[in-house]
Amino acid sequence: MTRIVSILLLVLFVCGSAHAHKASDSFLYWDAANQDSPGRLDIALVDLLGVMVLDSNGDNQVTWGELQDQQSGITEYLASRISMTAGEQNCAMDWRMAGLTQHSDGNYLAMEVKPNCPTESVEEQQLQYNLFFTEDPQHRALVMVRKDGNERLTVLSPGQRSLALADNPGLLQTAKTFLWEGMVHLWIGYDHILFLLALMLPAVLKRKKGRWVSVDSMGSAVKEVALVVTAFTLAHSITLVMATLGWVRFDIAWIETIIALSIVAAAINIVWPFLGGRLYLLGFGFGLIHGFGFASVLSDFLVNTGSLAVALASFNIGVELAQLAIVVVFVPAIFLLRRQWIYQRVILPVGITLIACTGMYWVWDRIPLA
Amino acid sequence: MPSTIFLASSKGGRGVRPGFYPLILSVLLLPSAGIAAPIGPDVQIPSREEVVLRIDNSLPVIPKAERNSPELSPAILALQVRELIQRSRETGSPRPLGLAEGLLAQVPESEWTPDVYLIRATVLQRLHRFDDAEADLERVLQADPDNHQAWLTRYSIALVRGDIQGAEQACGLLEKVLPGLVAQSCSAELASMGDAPEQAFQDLQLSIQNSRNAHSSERDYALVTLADMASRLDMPVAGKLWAEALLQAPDDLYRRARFADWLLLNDQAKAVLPLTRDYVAVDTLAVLRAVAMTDLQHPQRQTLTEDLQRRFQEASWRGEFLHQWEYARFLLDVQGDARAGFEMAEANWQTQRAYPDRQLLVRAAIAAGKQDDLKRLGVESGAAL
Repeated sequence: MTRIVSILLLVLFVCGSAHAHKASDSFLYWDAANQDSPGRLDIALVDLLGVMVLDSNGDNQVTWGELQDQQSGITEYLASRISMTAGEQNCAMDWRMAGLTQHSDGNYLAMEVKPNCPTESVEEQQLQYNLFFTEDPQHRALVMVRKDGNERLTVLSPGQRSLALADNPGLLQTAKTFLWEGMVHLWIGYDHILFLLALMLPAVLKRKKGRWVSVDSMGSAVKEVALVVTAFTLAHSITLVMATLGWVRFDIAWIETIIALSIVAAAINIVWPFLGGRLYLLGFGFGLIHGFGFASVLSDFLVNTGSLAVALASFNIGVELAQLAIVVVFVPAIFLLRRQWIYQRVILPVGITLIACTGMYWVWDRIPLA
Repeated sequence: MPSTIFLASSKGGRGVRPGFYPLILSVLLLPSAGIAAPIGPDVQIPSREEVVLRIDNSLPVIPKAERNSPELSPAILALQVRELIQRSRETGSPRPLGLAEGLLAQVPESEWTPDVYLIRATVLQRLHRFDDAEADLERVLQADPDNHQAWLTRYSIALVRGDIQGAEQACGLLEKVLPGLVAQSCSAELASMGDAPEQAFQDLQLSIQNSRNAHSSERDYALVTLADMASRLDMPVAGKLWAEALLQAPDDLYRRARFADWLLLNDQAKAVLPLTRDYVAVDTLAVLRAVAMTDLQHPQRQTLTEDLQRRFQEASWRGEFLHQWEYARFLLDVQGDARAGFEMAEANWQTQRAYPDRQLLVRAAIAAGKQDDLKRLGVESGAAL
């Protein structure tokens, strides 16, 4: 008898090499742009049947209603095996039954999930997947992550259970991002522009003994502006680097106030040069303060990058390019207008007043004394 | 609101023509529509009464509700794993093999008997992890050198890997521990790869005729071996032998696939359709059906082809490709992509070197004009090994 049983098994071994169907797979889709439910997990119903009682009335078939009635059990099961962390902290996972879907080997239950993480930073999120691995080490999660319109495929297995939901961007991407952020920040941060304008205005028209005296050549105007802008750039680069690398600490509220104050001072200095006529010194001195302001903005983005040096350099270059664009447009314009009546009598006084008043309003608004 | 737009624009004159508004609207809405495009296949919400899963023996898993979980002794473990292997064999699904691995991990190896190692070797063999399977068989044979099951499993693994020396050694020992029709089968099979293949075929045919008292399972094993040999030797009798073997065990997917394959290669595609009709869930048989449909220009070939494309796409995503032979066959004979078919057949050849693997590799190489690559791979296009 033993021999007969053995031989039956033998035949089984030798003849059973036809391949078919597929091994156990779940499908995990992740699209951070979909804020309501960035994640969707499709679980094969047969896999679920192996770990849960789905056929509650025992009629050898599972209806959608029976699955719906198991929603809390399924949700608990998923919560016990799939988790997410953001940095050191755990995120709550809000699972929801979305419906039924099909993959090549049959029906799958589609579950949607919305993680609630303490921080907003997507880049730090790690998903830990431990579904079915104990019951079936051949189980895999086939993952599709959509980011910036691109879809990345990967696989989770017993040897690779965690998924970083956003890659660190490459160096080129970092450089591009921070270059753009630097330019945007200068253009939308009106305080830096106003300060720059206040420094550039006297380059074509100086106040001497109560009268406006215009410069004769474009060359000397450009030279003056170049000196001022370079000094400003050099100064804010120094403090931007120092602050970003954590060598100095500052109170951003006071920095913002002093920046506003610098605008008022530069405007008044055009009419009454109480800080002296050497504009480059003025640019350098206040540039040091403006650098701290840039650093505060930069630190908001730096959480998302691993390449600090590239980010810092690109951000700074972005700021300089944006400055250059303003200089290129502004200096020829004021040079051409410098001798016009309307410029000397209207545009300049009104402009200086507006700059000074805006600066003063910002001082009032920002000063941290309440 | 849209009706207002339509009325205003219907006045004619210099207004924008009505047809332009939907166009403008769609252009304006396009970016948001792009963002909202869902990821993954469509999701539906069925009615509560809709049956979404039927539980029967064709399922590749044993439902939790049906599993009693006593404390796992090695004997119970072996029994349950055998049940899963059986289910994998019947359904053609690798899923139960993963479950078997999971079950095996629940009992520490220190408690395992040689029988548990033997059963794990079978699981590993079916997952194409041949080195691991052979290591387990080695343990079994060290503990029990007369274990004929272990020798026969080792023989079939050696044969699949193209290790003729290993197969000869295993077969030789099988003759000692279990003389009879099974040992005669392996011996004849090996002899048929030598100088007198027809003689080997006739010898086994005679052995079967003279072993009327042998157990039916032994006779069945010998018959399948004989059909395999006839196919390999390109003998016309192969079709009759496969039909006979299938009649003995209609649920056996291996002989059904081999019979279908033989029919296709002998220009009998039409006969493949009834043979594979109820087996499209099984990749091997589905691919052979798709080949037959392609040959016959069958009106339903497109649906099956799309279904198979989806399966292979998922398998490629998974990365661990168990079905390389099937995919190569699909690429070569359904998609008509000889180059890709050859690449996949070559990948399959790295792990599997049985006759159907060799046959496919040679066909794909010739179709892709890569005969020179066959020499590099150590394969002679005419050899019937």
